[in-house]
Amino acid sequence: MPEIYDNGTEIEVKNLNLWYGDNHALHDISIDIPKNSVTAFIGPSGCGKSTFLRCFNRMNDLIPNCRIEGHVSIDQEDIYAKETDVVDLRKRVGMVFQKPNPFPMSIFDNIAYGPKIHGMGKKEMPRIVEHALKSGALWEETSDRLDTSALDLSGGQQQRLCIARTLAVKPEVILFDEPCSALDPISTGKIEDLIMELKKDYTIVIVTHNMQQAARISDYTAFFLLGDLIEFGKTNQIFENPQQKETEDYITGRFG
Amino acid sequence: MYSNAKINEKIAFGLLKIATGMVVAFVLVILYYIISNGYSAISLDFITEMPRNRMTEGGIYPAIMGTTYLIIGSMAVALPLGMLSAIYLTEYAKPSKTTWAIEMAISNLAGTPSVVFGLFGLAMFVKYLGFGPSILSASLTLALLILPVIIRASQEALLTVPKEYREASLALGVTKWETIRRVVLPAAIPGMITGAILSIGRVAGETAPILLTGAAYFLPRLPDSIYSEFMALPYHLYVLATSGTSIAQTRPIQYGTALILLIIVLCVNLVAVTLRTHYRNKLKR
Amino acid sequence: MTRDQFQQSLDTLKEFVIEMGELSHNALASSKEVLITKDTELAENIFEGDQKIDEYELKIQKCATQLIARQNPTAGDMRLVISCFKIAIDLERMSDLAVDIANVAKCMEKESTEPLDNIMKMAEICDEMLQQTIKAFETMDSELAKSISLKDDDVDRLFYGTQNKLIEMMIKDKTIISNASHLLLVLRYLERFGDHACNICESIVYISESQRVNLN
Repeated sequence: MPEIYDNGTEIEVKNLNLWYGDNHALHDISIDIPKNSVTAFIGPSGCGKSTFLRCFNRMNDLIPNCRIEGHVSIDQEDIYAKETDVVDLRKRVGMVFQKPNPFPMSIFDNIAYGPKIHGMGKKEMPRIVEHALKSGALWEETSDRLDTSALDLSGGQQQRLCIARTLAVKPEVILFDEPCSALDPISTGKIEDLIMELKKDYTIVIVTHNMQQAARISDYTAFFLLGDLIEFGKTNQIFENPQQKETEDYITGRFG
Repeated sequence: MYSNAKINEKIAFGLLKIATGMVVAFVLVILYYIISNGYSAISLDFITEMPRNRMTEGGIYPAIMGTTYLIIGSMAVALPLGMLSAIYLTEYAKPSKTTWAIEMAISNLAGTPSVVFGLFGLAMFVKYLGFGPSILSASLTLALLILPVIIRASQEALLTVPKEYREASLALGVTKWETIRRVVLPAAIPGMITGAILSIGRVAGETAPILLTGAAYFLPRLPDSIYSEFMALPYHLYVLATSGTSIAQTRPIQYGTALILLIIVLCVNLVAVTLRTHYRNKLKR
Repeated sequence: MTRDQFQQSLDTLKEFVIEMGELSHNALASSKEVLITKDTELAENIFEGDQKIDEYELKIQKCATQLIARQNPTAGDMRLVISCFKIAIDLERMSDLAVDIANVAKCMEKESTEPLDNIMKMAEICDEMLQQTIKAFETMDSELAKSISLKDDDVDRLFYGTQNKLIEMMIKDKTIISNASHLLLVLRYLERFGDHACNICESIVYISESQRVNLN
């Protein structure tokens, strides 16, 4: 059921199948992800939502024996085409991981890492870093200690640093893979606010174990179960009036 | 039951303590033995002068320098070679029969007796490549000897770099090589240096390989190029203790030589440990 | 401040309730006028306004439902959300009562000899109660809410007094029965109006003090 979105479609997936060796992990998934909005993937552990997310920046390429069939296009460009440069793709599609993973470097160097490698000049760096940290809602807390180690930051701050580091590369899409599962509720709240702020400029896809989180921050929600996309729709509709029994069982905690 | 468990615990702890204590005691005894016998021989002249009078008098300067050259030479070859192969094996090589064979070869190399390396060095570097008995031949031979240790240590160090760092970098659209160079290697270097530390002791102490590839019985001057023969501390010690003309008379010099060898290894290790701490702190900072 | 969007939704919900309260208040004020002028056009306006109020009730319920489904409100937030749901029902009933009053007034004869004074006084008090209630809701002032409920006693007293008076008048003069019975209905409506205002005050006390009180 392809839908026409107000802001247009960012990611288009058609009949995607994925295997790990002989294990058929994703079954014939088709979905259109809207631009400038937050789309959440929910589902029990092992349902394939993280695997699916990693198809969008081809992180699955790093896993031996992983085979993908089907069509994924981002901004109408087939990302599994032969001529696609994976390194370029990952510049366009940023990713924030479950565990905050700042490099063992200073806060400044963490942010500057991407832009520096992508050929930005040294002179522009302070401005780029400041802008990224401001967009990542971390500037006020860190502006006076940019040269201290990123590892001295709290978990929540580290995660916002990772978001800022991704923003510094200027992606179009940001993928979040359970970004708050290692954080306390206050840090989680800050990240959630940040994500909702970011959707103005970026398309956001977030995988979360926390249904409430999906309910709070997403505009669209997709429910996965055992490698199948069971239901996809507006978050209001999914949480007030799900169409599938499996979805209802899961979001009401009656699963299994 | 409860008291039984407690007693068992006490026994286990006791045994562990005794074992550790014994190790420490042995080291202390050896140190005491060498220092107490050797310190009388140590003087500025001892470390700066040439041996005299058929090595029964004078210093051990050429042997000290010879060993230092060997350490520098073998490290200069083995460190980059070992690190690069470790990077290839852990980061790039896909699991295959070839990789498996290479891994096996490295393991076997690590278990090969050092005299075999000496013979290989003699055949390969001294004869076939025509380097003659020289610092170069000996350094290359020692480099081969420690290569497996360095490769193994470097591989371990690379494997302990968290997967998260690599993922973070790759996800930013950074190539694999840049990721390795800027993120993985800096994080792995302390571990790699640990491997180097272990090898330095080995290089400084080995006798058999250098005996066959260039160490001289007696040479009252410094080597003038990498193609020269040289004296080295362990071999000098061996010579003094076994085949000298007056073994009893040179006893203090023997202990002094051993002590100097010990001090050199200790000093180099100290430098390496400082370097490692420096890199570790840089990571933490 | 974290959870900005949640806070925004809560603020929106509160705003809806306040706006709806003002609409209900307008409806009652207009009904009061219709009582005197018997102006059918103004009565029509009230009927139309009622549709808008019904829409507001739906909007508030939708907003509250979504807040519960998506934001998992707890403690004070939860009390606010479920109370807003309730208050919307009360306000909707109040505006229906205003419509009923206008409907009845429309049918009455222009010239009447009945004691409109008391009825107008009741309407006045009800009007004031609703205004004050909206204010109490805006500021979550539970003391004000409690004091408002005291005025309901005046409404009740006027209700019983005027009712008896009208019955007496009807016994004396049968020609006024039609008009007077209409007025009886208006009385009843106003009395109910006051009760709903009290319900809202109870909700306000529940939101701010988490005490369930009976102010009727």
